[in-house]
Amino acid sequence: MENVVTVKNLVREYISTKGIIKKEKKIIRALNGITFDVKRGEVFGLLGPNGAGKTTTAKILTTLLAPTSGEAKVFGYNVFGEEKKLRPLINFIFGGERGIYWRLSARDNLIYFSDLYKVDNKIRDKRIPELLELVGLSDRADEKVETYSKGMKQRLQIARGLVNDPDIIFLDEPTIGLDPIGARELRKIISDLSSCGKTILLTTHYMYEADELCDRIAIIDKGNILALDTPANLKKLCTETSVLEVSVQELDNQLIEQIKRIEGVEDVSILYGDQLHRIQIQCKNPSEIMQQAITMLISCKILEVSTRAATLEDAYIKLVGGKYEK
Amino acid sequence: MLFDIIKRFFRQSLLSFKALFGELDFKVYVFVQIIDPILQLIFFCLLAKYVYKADNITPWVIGNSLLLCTKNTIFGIGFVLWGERIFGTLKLLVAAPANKFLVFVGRSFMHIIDAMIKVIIGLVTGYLLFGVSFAGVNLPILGLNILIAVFAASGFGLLICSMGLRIRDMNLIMNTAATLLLALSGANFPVEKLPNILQKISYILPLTRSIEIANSIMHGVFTSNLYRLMLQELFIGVIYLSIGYLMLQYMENKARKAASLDIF
Amino acid sequence: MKNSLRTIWISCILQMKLSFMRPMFQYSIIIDPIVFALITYMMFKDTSVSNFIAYVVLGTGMSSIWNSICFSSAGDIDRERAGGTLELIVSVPTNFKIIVFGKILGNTIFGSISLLITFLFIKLAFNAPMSIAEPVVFVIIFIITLISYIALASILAALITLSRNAVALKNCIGYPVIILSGMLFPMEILPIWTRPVSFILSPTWAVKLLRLSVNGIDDVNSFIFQLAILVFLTGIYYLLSNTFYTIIDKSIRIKGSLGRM
Repeated sequence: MENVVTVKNLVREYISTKGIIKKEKKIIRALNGITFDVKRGEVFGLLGPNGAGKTTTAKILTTLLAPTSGEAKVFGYNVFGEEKKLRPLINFIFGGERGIYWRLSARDNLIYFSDLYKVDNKIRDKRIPELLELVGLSDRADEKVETYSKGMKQRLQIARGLVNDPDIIFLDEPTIGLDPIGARELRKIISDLSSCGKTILLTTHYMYEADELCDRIAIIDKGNILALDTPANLKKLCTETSVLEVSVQELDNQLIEQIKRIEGVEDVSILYGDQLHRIQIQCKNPSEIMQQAITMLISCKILEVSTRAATLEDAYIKLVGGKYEK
Repeated sequence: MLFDIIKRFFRQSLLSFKALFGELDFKVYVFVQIIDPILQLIFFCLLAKYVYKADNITPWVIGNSLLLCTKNTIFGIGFVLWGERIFGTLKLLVAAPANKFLVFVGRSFMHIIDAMIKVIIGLVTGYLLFGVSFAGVNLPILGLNILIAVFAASGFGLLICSMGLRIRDMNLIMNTAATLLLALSGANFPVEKLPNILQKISYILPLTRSIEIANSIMHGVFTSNLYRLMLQELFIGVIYLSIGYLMLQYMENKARKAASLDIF
Repeated sequence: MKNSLRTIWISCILQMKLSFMRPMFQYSIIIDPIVFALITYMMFKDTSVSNFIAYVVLGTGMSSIWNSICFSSAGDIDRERAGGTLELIVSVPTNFKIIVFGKILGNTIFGSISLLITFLFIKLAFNAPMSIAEPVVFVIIFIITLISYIALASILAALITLSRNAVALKNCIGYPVIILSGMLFPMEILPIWTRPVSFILSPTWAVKLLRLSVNGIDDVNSFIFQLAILVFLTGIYYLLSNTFYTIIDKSIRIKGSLGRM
């Protein structure tokens, strides 16, 4: 299949200055030479924690940021230098409620952006009602956006991102801040778009979302791609292993070190929480080490013990490291 | 115990001041809070100089310097309330066991200090650019007058801003209030020139008396009448502050009943 | 070309819709000019300045237009940045310059309305006598003035797009221009060292010309000379702003200053 996005050794640095009088310059490397391709028609996911470089990648590919070095092409056009040819073909949606005019109605927003994308009037007049229908805003299309719920605003963003019928859509954390139902509706729209043949590049830090929607996923952290494969293959990183999960009230780091040394344990990660901490022990055969581990942890006030097969989340945690909070 | 209360008071003041201006860039603070108001002062002084062909424009320097305090007493205090609303801390304030009035005054305290500094910056500008002379001027009394002026203007600011909380664009009401003071306080033309009804409004506004007093002080004139005016200004301040505080509580109660503290 | 005109038109309309719904904008085109006119009227009244209405109406009117065009246009960019739409309108196939031009045009129309409001207020509140010696010339100069203001505003908007720091600048650009260009008092009363700055500001010449067309033109040659300077400066402004927008396209993406990080 044809590659529509090619990224090679992409680097992006930010210079941040601190202080008022004595300016201290600090170079922050947001992308550390990443490489990947996106094929026509696929849903490609960039999965990673906050600050991993997902948004930076999306902004570079949507011509909003210049690469510091490396190559980034969409439809064969350089994103920095050939943006004039590229911009009509793409569109992007950044999650959250920003990026639309709150004081205007949904319809006005769509008309305005259609015009800015130089969409022909006839096509525009036909397309806008279709888009409103697609995102379920037909009924309230003429009300001001500020009266909308978060989910409605985010769906309007999707419609806005489609005014020029782009061949590729970039979605940056589209479901951020939505309730489960709102997020599910949005995911449904995204998968519908995909079945219409659109290429979609999606960034997210929700495991489930990536698993459900993406054909391929790149797990990214601190500006590096740690793994890139189909969700199924990524899960295989861990399928040989299972997970023994112990929820405890208190935690002793020395004990964790001891558990790591138990024979058969491959990795230990911890999800810190307010009420309880979850220790996830990856191993080939949980029943063999369960006895040992529980004995060690007995002083930590064990609340629950369970074993399960590995999920995408475990693959992710294995790659990114288990220090993120849920 | 008392020491603790005082310490808490100052900490509150400083923190809320920092919360407001820490959000802003230092540069933005200097431009918005100092340079622009000083430019406004220079503008009106130059205008007076041209229009009245006057060599001594001390009255305009005095009047416009005192008006500089509105940057804090209206906008600063307004932003304190506004900020609490935006960052959702207003409900914390409502629910806090502490005396809300004290908390609130604490939060405004730094603004009063800052306002006095601004008035002084204005006077210094007048001294440097327009040769305003402070020879033979009773400076302690002038200082006291400035303090009372700032206090009265703060009370006015509190009232305006607590009403503003119900309006979505608080900027509108704050700017209108500041512009009204600019026009009606007698800083740029004598209050007597105004139509009768506007004159009445002038005398229920803060600063009108303070500007009158300050001009007398600058002339070296000092009568018991001035003390009377000072007391009146103080009284105006107390009234505004009281109504403002009651208004704030009323708004809060209303918001709580309507369960709309967040949108409030 | 037809496409550009359409974009300018729709940006202008959108801008007017957005602005009008902003209470603060209503303040700056209605309340502020009226109070400002009241103060200046009161100050000029009972003085020896002849035909002071020309100073009051023209001066406050020109100041409000200046504030409305420059302040609002600069502020609009900032609002677009805060609302997350700046990134969108910079990266659409339509030239950003054209979108900004449309926005400024919208503010200009409102600004002119505020001149009208000032005029009506003085007329109705004080029943002040007012006469324009050369109405046709006045209208022509007024239109050139607006074109010149738009050029200045687009330079300002460009600076604000380029740098978040320029936002601070926006807040204190009002009075200096009003003072230096002599909108309410002749710039001749200012210290001599400010002269060069006054001379490169097109409002200086615009105000002079407008005042002349109100009071009567005695020296036609001098009038034409001043008009030539105004047109020349305006041309320079457009060249400058064009350069800025070319720089913008590259620079903001290299610096990454578009969004609100």
